Amino acid sequence: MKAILALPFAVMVLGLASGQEAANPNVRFGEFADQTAEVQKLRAERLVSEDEFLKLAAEPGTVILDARSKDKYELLHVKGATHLAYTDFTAEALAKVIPDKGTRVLIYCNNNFKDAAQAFPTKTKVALNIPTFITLHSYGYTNIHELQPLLEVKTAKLSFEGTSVDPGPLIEQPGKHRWPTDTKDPQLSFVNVVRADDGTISPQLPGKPGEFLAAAGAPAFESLSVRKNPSGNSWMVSGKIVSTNAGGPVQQVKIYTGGDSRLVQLLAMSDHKGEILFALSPMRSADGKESLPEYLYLDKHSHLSVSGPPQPAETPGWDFGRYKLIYK
Amino acid sequence: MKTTCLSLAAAGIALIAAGVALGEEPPNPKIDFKGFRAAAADVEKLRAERRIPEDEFIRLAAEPGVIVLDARTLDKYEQIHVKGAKHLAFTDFTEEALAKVIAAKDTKVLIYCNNNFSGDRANLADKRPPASLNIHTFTDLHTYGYTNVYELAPRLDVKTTKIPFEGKSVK
Repeated sequence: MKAILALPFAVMVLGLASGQEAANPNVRFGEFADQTAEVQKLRAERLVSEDEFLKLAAEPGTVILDARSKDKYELLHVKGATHLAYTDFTAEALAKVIPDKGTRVLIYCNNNFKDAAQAFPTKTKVALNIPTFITLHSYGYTNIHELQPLLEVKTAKLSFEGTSVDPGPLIEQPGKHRWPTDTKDPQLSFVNVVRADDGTISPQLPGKPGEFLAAAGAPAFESLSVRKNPSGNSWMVSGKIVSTNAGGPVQQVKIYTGGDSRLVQLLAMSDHKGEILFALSPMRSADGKESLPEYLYLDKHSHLSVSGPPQPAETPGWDFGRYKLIYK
Repeated sequence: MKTTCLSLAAAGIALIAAGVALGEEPPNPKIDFKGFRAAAADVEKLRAERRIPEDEFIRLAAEPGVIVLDARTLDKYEQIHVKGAKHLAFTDFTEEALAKVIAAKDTKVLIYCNNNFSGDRANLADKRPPASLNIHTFTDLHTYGYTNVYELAPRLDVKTTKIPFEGKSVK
């Protein structure tokens, strides 16, 4: 009896002989040192230039893996990169983001970029690529490539995305309107908007001051863009709010996220230019169903709110601009 | 003879070409694998002496000036961590970030990771042994000059360990 019980224990001890890890079979250093040596040889052939990285990234089936912390990833990451924090690497978690042990995986880290200290703070000692490469290898991933050079985000050929990136070209409303603007001050646009019954914005030609029809005296969205947040269940809405001649040449835009404020999380605002960026999360109804807000409202107090179906006809004294949100 | 000379010359050219190709891409000065390997080798010896059992971990954690450092992902830390542990995700280790959390280079730092605990697969998910976070955390801290690091050695059951926990998922 004793012998049978002793056998598995003995096997375990023998297996751990390479390190003094008897107390914790799950943490093994000797094996780590061996893997590190193995990886050094392999990795030397897997370092790629920016051009090679781009070429490989474009091939179907390639996964770009960003192993930094989530908040850095959300600020700025290489366009198309999937996120899995290094600290969350487990067999299951990796299998979810990398379909196959032979999948081509491209990695990069902080130390590949030198001019973006908030999203990519330099690690003066061990760059994250190193443990990432080693660990992926130890989990049996055989086709890892690592971006080698030290680049500048500003000048790199790589594309980036994230909340710190300029949202880029704005909305495509049905009909793809280009808002006519009439402005003496280059930092402010004056645009008249007509609130259509179905909530879409259509421009009215400038030259009719006072005929601003959205919210009297209030600013309006000149343009609005909605895109999915790649790393979470939310949508990023970027917009440009402009003064209206009904309210005077310069209108201070203050955004108060009212109503269901948990749905609208203001992320950034450049007040003078009227650009704002905020996040929208799906609304949950009483029976647990998720839906996205259909309309955005901006009232005369710059009170921003969202809702599902259109609000009923406005009550006197409460006027608002209504914008249909278009999700792609 | 001619053939030999030609093939030697060809080999020479090939070597030079290879050398040029290798030299094309200057290595990234901020990513030093060789240096890491050397550091890891040093650490291996030191770490063997610094792995401590449960009782000693608890005893040291109670000493004034000692920091318990949790280097896991933030959301896992928020769900559950050793009571009193400070958080800095391994992915965020930089000179400045570490200096904010650890008072001095010789401060006693206790580390632990997922692989120290069984019984909570959501927040303390096992990693394959050579990939355990402790190994990298210990090595990294050492390269940043933190010379007084200790690591919880055993694998304990979250439910029965004497080490206290706190966090959103802890009652």
